[in-house]
Amino acid sequence: MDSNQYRVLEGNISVPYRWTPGDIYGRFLGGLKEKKILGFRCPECKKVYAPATDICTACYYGFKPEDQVELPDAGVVKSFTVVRANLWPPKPDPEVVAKAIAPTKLEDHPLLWPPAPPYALVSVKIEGADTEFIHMVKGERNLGKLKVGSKVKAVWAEQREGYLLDLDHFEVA
Amino acid sequence: MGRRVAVVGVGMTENKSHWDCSMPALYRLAVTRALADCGLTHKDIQAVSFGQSPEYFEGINHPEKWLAEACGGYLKPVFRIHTGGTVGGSAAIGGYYLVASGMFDVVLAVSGNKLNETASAQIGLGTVYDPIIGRQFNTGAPSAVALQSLRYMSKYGYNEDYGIRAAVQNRQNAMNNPYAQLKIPGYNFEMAKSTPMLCYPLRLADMCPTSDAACAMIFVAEDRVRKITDRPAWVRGTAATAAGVYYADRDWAVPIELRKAAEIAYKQAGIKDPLKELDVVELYNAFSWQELVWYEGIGLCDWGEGGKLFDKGITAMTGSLPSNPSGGTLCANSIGAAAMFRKAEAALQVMGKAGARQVQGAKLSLGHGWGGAIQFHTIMVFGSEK
Repeated sequence: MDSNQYRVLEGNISVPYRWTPGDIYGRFLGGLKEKKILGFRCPECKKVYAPATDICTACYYGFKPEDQVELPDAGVVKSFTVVRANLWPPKPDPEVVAKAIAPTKLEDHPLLWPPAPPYALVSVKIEGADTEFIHMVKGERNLGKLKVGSKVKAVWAEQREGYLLDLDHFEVA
Repeated sequence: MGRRVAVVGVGMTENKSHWDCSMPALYRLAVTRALADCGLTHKDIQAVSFGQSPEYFEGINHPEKWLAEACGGYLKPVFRIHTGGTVGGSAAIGGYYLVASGMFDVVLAVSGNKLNETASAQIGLGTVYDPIIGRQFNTGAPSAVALQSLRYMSKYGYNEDYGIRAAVQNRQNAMNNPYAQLKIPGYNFEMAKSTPMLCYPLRLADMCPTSDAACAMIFVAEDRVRKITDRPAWVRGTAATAAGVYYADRDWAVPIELRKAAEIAYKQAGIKDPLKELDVVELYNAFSWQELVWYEGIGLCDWGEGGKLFDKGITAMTGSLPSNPSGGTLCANSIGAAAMFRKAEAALQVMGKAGARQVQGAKLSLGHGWGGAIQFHTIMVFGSEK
């Protein structure tokens, strides 16, 4: 009898989920849908957070809708990296996923599968904010001009649904 | 035992579908309520014992990273503890250990989950079984507990109505609990008995709801307690046991792992006759029959006598040892917070702060936590006196 000692049992655990943004993240996403970058100002330490967060890190203050401030859709690059190699595995075959133990629809989701290179991951200090917004710069013309200190402006997606990538990318001004 | 430790503050969110707030906001709500309960601020917290249920339910790996600020943990030690459905109990015990050890004086324990956000909690629960022997049936929790329930019924000759009656008692208790989810006015035996059979012998009435909730407790060293509150809940006994996963070798109707935990906790608390000495218990009864099985597990009666104990009315709100004045896990189950709710409810009872669900004069209480069909048990015993 074969001992099966080296046999491999295959499985696939997919994790379908729905995250609730709540009021503060929700307002930020709603702003993006209207081509606006909204920040939240802590009334205790006056720090302006953009992108949104529920809580002021230092003060443990819980943001309220009235703390919302509208910011320009432009800022300055504080750091960046240009991604030229795709180190990710190929997208899974939907038929393979369907045979998994808990079959669910795996959507072609940008959160799971990064954009095709080249693109730059950038941290942008939005004008009027005290934090840095991690996002992207796209297009060879923009990538060629990109440096720390570059002024950048938002390029908005045509179709917007209240999602982080409603702001499609930044371009170098 | 280490240093003497007390719970000085408890914070709970409502158990419901929290589509109104994010996970960080939910945790912060529980924490701010616990801080307000004892007049402390986030600056007073020295360390955080963090709990959340299996990753599958959060849709995020490493949730303690996402929620560190929400727990007031920025620039502080944040330790994640993870023991499935027992996690809230383990996180509470972890918080207690951190203070009892002498390393910290003021520690926050917090645990929660938004179970409604998972596409299916039961698919997730199906993945907790041994992947080589057991995963193949994607069992989830209800059908596993159905095996436990029928085993218990048939072993001791209890009819189907005992589960229903236990469910009704809990649902009626839940009417007094502002944080419970399942509150059905006029709930009675006929209503419960007429609910559909989901997996024999369990009807819909025998099962817990799917909740979003967080719960927080603040543990403080003995010499700090009196400056903070004159109504602390002293930790008198603490125990946790692992039951493992090899269910082929476990009798689910006879949870000796829970009995072991109870014996350890009672020895620490100096309890010899728990039925007489305890004033109130909060049991992790995610399913109705577990109410009776856990009576036996924590040694309120002999094996097989849980139903008879229930018949005597001792564990009703009007009895000498009320069980689950909150309505228990049967009326609110976020998994991530549920075991901490049992501990927090038990603490509130000896603090005299349980509101409409208060057991008058409660001086000694027990909070239990359970996870998996078999898996882990946690127990904390609280006293109004040291």
